[in-house]
Amino acid sequence: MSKDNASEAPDSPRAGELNRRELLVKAGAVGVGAVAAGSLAGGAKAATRRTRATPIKRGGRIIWALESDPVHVAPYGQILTSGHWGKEFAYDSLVEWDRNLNVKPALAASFKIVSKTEILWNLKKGIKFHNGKELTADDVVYSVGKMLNPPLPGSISTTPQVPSIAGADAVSKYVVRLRLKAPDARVIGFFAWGRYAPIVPEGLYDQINVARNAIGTGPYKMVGFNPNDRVEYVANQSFWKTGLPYMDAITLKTLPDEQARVAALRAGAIDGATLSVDVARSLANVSDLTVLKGPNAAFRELQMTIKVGEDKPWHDQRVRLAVMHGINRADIIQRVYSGEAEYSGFVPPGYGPWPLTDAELKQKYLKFDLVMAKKLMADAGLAKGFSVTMTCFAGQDYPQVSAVVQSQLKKLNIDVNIVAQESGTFGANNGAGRFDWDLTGRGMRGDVDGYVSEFHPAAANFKIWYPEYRNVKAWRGIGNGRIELDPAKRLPIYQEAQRQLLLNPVQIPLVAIKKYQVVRKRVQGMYVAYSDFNSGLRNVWLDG
Amino acid sequence: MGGYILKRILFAIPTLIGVTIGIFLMVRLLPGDIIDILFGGDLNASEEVKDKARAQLGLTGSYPEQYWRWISGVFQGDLGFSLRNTEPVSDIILGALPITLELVFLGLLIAVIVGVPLGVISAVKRDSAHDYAARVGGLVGVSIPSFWLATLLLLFTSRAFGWVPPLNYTAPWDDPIANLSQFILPAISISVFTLAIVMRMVRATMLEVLGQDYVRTARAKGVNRRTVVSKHALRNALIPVITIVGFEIGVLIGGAAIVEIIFGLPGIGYVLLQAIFGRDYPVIQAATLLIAFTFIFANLLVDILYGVVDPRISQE
Repeated sequence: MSKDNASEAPDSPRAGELNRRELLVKAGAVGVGAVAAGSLAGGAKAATRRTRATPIKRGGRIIWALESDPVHVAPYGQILTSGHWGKEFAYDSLVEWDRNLNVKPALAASFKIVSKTEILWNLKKGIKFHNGKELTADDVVYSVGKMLNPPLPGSISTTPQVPSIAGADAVSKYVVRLRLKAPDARVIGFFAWGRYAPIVPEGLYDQINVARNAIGTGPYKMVGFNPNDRVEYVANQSFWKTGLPYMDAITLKTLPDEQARVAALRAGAIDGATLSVDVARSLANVSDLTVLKGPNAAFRELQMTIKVGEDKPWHDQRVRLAVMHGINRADIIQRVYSGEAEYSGFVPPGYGPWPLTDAELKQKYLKFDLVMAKKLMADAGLAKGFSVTMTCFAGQDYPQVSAVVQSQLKKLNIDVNIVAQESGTFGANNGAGRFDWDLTGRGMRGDVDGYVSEFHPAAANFKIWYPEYRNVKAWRGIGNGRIELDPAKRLPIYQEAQRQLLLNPVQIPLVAIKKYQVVRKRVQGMYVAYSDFNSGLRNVWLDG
Repeated sequence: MGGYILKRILFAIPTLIGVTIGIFLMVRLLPGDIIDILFGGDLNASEEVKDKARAQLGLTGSYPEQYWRWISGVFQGDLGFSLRNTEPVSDIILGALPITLELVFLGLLIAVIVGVPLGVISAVKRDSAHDYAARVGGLVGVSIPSFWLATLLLLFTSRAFGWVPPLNYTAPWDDPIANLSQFILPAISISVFTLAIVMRMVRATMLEVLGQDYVRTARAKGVNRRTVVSKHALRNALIPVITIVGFEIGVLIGGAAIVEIIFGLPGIGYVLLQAIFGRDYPVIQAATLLIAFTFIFANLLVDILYGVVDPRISQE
């Protein structure tokens, strides 16, 4: 029995049986690349449906299947999302997001912005790590040091994700001063996201093998990790949130093959897993299973490079706008996702108050208007079109989306040659700017800045991908937004920056997809987290 | 025989060195290196940060320098450390190897125990219904991809019986029943192709042997049919089977990767595949070296067994 998310109003594409099946390609799971951190504050709308609540029962073990192996569970320097899946129940940070991405106190009871480059954090008293040690300011100082310089097995490749933190000092036993190199509004969201900011006991790296073990303050204690196999947790009886957790134990079993996860679900060998939309929907009528879905930050987009010394057709803004308005996103949503996706700007829907409204996107910035698109092409002297090679990930839905975009752009006489690439190859070419167009996906960010900073000349990739791109109005907004610490003032800045980027796009945002997870009926309280983590497992219980 | 074995071992050494050079270069020719993987999608990484990451992972120096660092470690028993999680590669390989060895052993056991009798029956009862059924079955067996069969078996057992193999690995000496129940489906999946080949090969050689003069002589002397088949004909018909089994050991060590992934068995193939996706060079190099070594050793074993099974070969 499936549970549709009543709080969402999916787009209403044209009716009729549409030819999705010919777009389906069997693919393995592909992890989308790393993301920049940022802060998120204020009310959020990423509400997702969860399993129907029954009276809470304590005890039992839940077995959850992961689609990728964590590789290691070190707290810092972990670039893979799956790495965070493996360790997320062992650790907490200074603040946290609730399921609607509202920032809430966590290990810190409160924080105070003393100046533009100084934040004081007041820690809660009496919080214990899994080894019995009490959390103090010294632990936070140690943790911040590791965030800035993650030792092996972590990678320093994560340090660009860290905001402008200079360091931390212990003011007293429970008060920490966080020093910034420059005003940086991303800090709060960076800690709330938690992916790169767990708090660990001082000296952790000298005490245990962090690749295989964890000591944190989280609701579950890690008792074992076998790479390519599973992670084992038991309940933390001294967890700082009274009454939690409900379960005795969690096992995270790595099962990369989707059909194996389906078989294990049907047989009751696992209690839940993430599945693709088609497979999840095929289980809607299985009596023992519940299909959950929720919005996801991973929106799809078409990237272009605008490099020095090249004279490509899309260097002309009119051509880029023609592509923007020549793509029929409703068609993509229906043909690839059976209606289960939404229009997305540069900030995906559901990411707090920051995205532009669906109406604004559909009626103006992402409006499908073939007549206008053709006119723009003609004005640019390209009525006869041009040829371009577009690369994409070889897995997931990317080939299908690419195929639909290819067929749509034919109407503008743009001949798109699709080249699907294995993830490592795609990542290498993408990072080096060795592409004309590519179709890729974004991911979660800790702060809204993470979705727009790449368009600013200060960004490293700007110099590689589009050094010839100009958008002064957007740049001004992006620069001001990062140093404005008042969320109320930041909101209009970033929304205007999005509008300017959409009026002069260098990337073409397409659609935001939904994430599906299927659980056995006995699992209660689970929800699909917007962040792409399995945060819902922290608070689940078993009914029967 | 001793001189022959020594000669084969000496020939194996340059082969293995060639394999190490080949795999060392091949992984580095793949588009993208581990730095690209680690920084993939990162929008703010400068070249300076990437260079620091290279130094952190020991990827500095020319290719010959990197190769020498690695190969000199191998000769000292040090396979290096994983670039992804800094675990000793030897630990990773030793943790995965028993799983794959057991899977391959069971798969080959099924293939031989079922394939040989089927081949014999098919040959002895030539052109009968049994023969036709076995031949059609053999054709189907060589046509079915093992990963497809693995998925089919999993979905069938989950739907029909509400059962899938246990997800957590249990060593055979800890709980033989749990271990067998975990390995039986994946073993069947990888055995079918080899089973079909063995069956067809045994049938073909049995037919040839059964037509030999000495077999006709034995029959004429009144030796019963069962003794003629099992004692006189089968031994000669098994020689090609030894070849197949030896060859398949090497193939399956790495080739069972997809089946391992489907059943969640963290064996060598699984480890190697993940290492390739993650550009984890030390693990790729070590796992490939192991597979090459297994191939060479298995073929040497086959050649030795030939001498045991066929005295004419050992005399030569």
